[in-house]
Amino acid sequence: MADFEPTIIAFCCDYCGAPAADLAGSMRLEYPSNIKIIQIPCTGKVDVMHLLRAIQKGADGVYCVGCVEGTCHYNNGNFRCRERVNYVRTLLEEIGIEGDRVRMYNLSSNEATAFAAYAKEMTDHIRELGPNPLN
Amino acid sequence: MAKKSGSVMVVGAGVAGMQASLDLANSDYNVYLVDKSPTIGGMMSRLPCIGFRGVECQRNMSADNGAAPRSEDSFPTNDCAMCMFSHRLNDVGGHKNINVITTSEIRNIEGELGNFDVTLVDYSDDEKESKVQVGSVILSSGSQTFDPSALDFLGYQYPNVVTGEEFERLINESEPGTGRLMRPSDKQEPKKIAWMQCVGSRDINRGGNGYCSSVCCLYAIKEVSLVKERMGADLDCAVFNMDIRTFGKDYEKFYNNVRCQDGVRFMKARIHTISEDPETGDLNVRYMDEAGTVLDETFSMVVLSTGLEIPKASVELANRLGIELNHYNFVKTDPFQPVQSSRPGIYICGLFQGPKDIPESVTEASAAACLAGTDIVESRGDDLEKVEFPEEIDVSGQEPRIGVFVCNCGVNIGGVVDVNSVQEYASTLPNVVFTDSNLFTCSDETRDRIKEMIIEHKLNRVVVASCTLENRGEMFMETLASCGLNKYLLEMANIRNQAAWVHANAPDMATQKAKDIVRMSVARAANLNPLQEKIIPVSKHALIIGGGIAGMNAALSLGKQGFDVVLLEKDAQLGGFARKLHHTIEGKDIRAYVEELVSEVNANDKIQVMTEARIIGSKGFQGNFVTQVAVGSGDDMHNIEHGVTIVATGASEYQPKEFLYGEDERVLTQVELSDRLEEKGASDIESVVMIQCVGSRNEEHENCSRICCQSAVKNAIHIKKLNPDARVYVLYRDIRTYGLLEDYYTEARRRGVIFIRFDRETPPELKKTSEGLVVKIKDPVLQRELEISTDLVTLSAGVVANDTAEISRIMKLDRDSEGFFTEAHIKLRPVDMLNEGIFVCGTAHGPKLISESIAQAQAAASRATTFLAKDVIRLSAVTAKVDTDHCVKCLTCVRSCPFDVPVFNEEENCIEISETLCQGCGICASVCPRQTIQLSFYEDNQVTCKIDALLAG
Amino acid sequence: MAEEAIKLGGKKKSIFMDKVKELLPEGGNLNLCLTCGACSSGCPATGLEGMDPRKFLRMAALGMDEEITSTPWVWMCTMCQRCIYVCPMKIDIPQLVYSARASWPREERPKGILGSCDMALRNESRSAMGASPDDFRFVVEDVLEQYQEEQPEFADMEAPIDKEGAEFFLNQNSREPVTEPDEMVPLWKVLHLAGVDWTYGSKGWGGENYCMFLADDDAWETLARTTINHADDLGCKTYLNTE
Repeated sequence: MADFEPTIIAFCCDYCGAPAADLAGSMRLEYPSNIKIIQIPCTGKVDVMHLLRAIQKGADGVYCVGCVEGTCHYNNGNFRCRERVNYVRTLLEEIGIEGDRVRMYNLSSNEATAFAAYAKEMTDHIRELGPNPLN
Repeated sequence: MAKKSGSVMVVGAGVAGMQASLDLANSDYNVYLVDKSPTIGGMMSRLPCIGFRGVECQRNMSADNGAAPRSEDSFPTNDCAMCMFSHRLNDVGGHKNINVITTSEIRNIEGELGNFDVTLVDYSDDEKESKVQVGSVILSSGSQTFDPSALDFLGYQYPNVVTGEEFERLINESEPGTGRLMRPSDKQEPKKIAWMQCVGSRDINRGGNGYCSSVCCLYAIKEVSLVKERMGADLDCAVFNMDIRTFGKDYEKFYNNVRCQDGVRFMKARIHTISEDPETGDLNVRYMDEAGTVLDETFSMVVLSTGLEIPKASVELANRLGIELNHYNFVKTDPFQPVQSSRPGIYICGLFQGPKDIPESVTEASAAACLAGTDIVESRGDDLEKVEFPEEIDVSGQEPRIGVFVCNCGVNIGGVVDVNSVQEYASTLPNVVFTDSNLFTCSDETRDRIKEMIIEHKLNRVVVASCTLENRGEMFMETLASCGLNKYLLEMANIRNQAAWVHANAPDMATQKAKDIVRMSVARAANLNPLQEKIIPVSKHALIIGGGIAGMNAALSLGKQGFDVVLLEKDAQLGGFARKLHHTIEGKDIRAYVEELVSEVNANDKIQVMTEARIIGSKGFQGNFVTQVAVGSGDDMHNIEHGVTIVATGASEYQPKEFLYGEDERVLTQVELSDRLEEKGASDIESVVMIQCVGSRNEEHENCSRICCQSAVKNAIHIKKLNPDARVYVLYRDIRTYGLLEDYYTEARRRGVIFIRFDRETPPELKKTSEGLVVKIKDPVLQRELEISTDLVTLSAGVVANDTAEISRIMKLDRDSEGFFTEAHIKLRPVDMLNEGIFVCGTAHGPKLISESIAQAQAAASRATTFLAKDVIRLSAVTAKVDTDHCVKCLTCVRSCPFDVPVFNEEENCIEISETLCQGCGICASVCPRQTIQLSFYEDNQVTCKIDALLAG
Repeated sequence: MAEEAIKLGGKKKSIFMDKVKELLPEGGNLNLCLTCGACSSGCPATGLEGMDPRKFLRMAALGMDEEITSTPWVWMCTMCQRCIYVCPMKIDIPQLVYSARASWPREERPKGILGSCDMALRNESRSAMGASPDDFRFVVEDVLEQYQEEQPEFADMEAPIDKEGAEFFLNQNSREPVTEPDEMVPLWKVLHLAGVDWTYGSKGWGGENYCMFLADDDAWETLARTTINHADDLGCKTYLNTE
């Protein structure tokens, strides 16, 4: 469905996700404006509940952007987030919503190009999936 | 006598200049940070390691595999240097005590220590001159890379031959996820890459520099590691070298990890000519292998590991300022005063002092800050803006009254986003009672206006729609506090980086998104609550553990600033291992220096020395430690209150088990050889064979001990000076006379010392025969066995950490598997320990030269000063709070916290999360099954309201 | 090579390399070798006689005087200087090789080079091929006349011998006049078209100096002085060395 503009939330951590997003701005990279960022200290803070709520309230896609595995400022927060993302994906499948609406990406604070690439990838992907079935 | 200025000028805003500035600014000095480029960050901001395969990540990876157990109360992080560095850029840019002056240079400095008149010229303003008064100056102007065009046989003119710096830019620009490195000529993926080491370094022939640039071996290995990771097993990497100099802490481990990978080769060979095949763009390299066979190989790319040198502009600057340089244009310094220039009050750190890597630059920067600050200690705080905050207004019970200030940021935002439309939209949002739009919200004028509006409209929440929290958050928080509003009632809506800048070609979309962002932020602002930062007092006393050269220097550096110091030494006298040494390689008298230090320490009434001291117990946290010390053999116990701790427990020489040591009196260590030369000279010595890497770079002790090569060279030269006819052989694996030490290696060879290389797998053999000692080793050049009869064998025994198991346990300090104390971050926090308020210096941290120990001791003192200079420490209020009434004590939080902060208090029967120790990640909050833990400032509703607000609009 | 071990021991004695160091400025940096192998990988003689510049220097450093003064490899070096060009320590390996050559008893040096040097010493031309000044004059005049006739555009071309006061003195490798005289002509044409005032010399016209290759310094000097003195006697200002 080419004419639908998804709304996608990106949870970005203080140490990697958000700086990469900011740097993407400093570098004047372009990525779709469908992405709206919510910044938290660590992706380990992102609750299963937050991810589900986003889908429940109508977000077409949600993803978390955390540090590269092994370099999390708080050690293992990003590992926890990944597990929760996987869990939410399974839950969504069980209730008939595409699990792949929820993803986890890892990068480092200066990988602005990656940030923009992932933003574009997610937007294209969600556009393909279509609107959130709950909408 | 004029009052001394309370300001310091730092020249050059690279990683060293930034460190020095932050230390000084955090010690309440006013700082002018000048850079001739338009930005801060220097070389490091151009060369991020983007693959996390630098030394620090290797160490982090292995730590996670349980190499060394973490202790409680330490907060290990796995930060890569870039994350930390980006924060640091923001710290410097936003610090209220640091005035950043870019596109400017120093024209002249008149006056003297305490009262310098600096003339600055601003290139962005028609070369206008201005004058600034400061009390001391730090030069941290860095270096430039060697231009390999002078070495016409290396093929730099071909497109696929690049320097290390250019190679890193190429990797940087490759597409992430696709992991493809594209070579310049045809954008094809390279299949084989060759690195050429020592380009422009260790070269006295064609416009090269005779010294070793110290960093190229490590950066080449890093590049190999990065590119192998991206391109996988198929890529072949060959590093052509004379010696691999991975002498830094854990660098050898990194080298070992990289070189054992498939497709990675380290070749002991330098090449003659690189030629290009014009049809393919491939490069042909001809070299001679160990066995003497000449081989031709074709590579897709060649990387020239170019060295570092001092630019002409720095030389001219030094001349203008009357600063003496050495023959390589580095600033001349005395080994016992490593950061002092020839002009009192002007200090030097980083690459302008000598070739070195980041940890050493950052260390010297702190050392320079310590001395620069001490020069003007009586004026500490004088040049700072006095800020008085009014009493905080109690907003509890009030309905939210939100003010939204939308920024144009010049044309950065306003040029894309319709700011007026966003402002209008904001005024329609719930709880918004005032909106404004400004050209530059961070300007003094606008901030004054914000204050006025807060007061006039009785705003109790503020949303600034502009840039990033890291950038301007602290500044606007201060704006709120300055009119009585709790600083945590601020929300930043990033409509610049997240809208204007990234949707510049779609202004309508950018404007719409800006509105979405503002809507989310307004919803959050309504949910924000005032938070109180924990204020802890600082005990202005320092405890220094270890009375060697490092400990004494740290003690003096603090004592001279007027802080009380307790210096503990386990032996009966001060001095440490240095008492066993004689001269440095430059010829300085070590024992005389130690005596001097001891006299100074004893004469300083701020320093209390306790010898024969043992630490029995310790508890507390930054600013508030209490340590119990037993003195002597009896019951003489002391309870010492201190705000900071500096660990300087030193190290010793390895006692070899190899090569007949201990069995034959003709086999000595280098330290023993020094003694022998002092006592008996060398006229009776016919020959000496020295064997390197004894007790280092092996299974038991993987790291390099750093100082043994220069120690051998020092003694070899000494022998040759005393007895030119003595035959001296040095048997080595890699000669690691890094930096300016290379000149001594050259001198040793010039004096006729013969150097013979061996592999780890085929070490030399030592035999006792009836005619004397005989050493057998295969000469790699001739591929024949040598049998060397010799009078003396000297073993370059490594450096081993002293036994600090007790102290480490009692004070909960991390050590690595070799027993050296672990710093918080190998590159960017080289003297901090993970425990806040505790620092390490000297050989307790790792093997190093005396000059490096002195710099590190002064650096530890500088870092400690950032605590001691304050009366109180304010901690972030972003900490986890547990609702003990509803907590079911499942202990999930206790098990989940990466820093072991939540504890179950058995007496009170509840979970305690210390405000002082909590790191604010929120993991406990998210794992708590009953949601009875909330992370202040990121409480669940403060996050979910953004989701709701976004999707409702 | 399963050779026996090299024994290093006893009191330090003066070795061959020490003597060479005394002759060279800064000792030719001969002690400074880092064994990097850059020299050997560019040397055209690497591998011959199982030798290369790095090995050669190493043997010298270890005092293996007998080996380095007897290896025929020193006669295979072309003195091209590719080694010292890239050497990070700017070590004068060619000079070490030259000195090793000079240490050979004269009669044991390579026959061809020895013969050519002695030949050159026996005639005033200083020609290694034994061509006398008269031979030379004959050939030059003969060839010149031939070209003047056959190529009218070069009718005024000259190939002077012993022209007093000419600005340039030109020497000439013996091979051309003896075996391929036409090969001398292209240079004459260039000089003619450029309007250069030049001359050969009857004495010392032979450009090659086999005595230099032979490492016989005295003979080298004799050859060189013959031609230089003659150029001076003629009053020429610039010596054009075609070798």
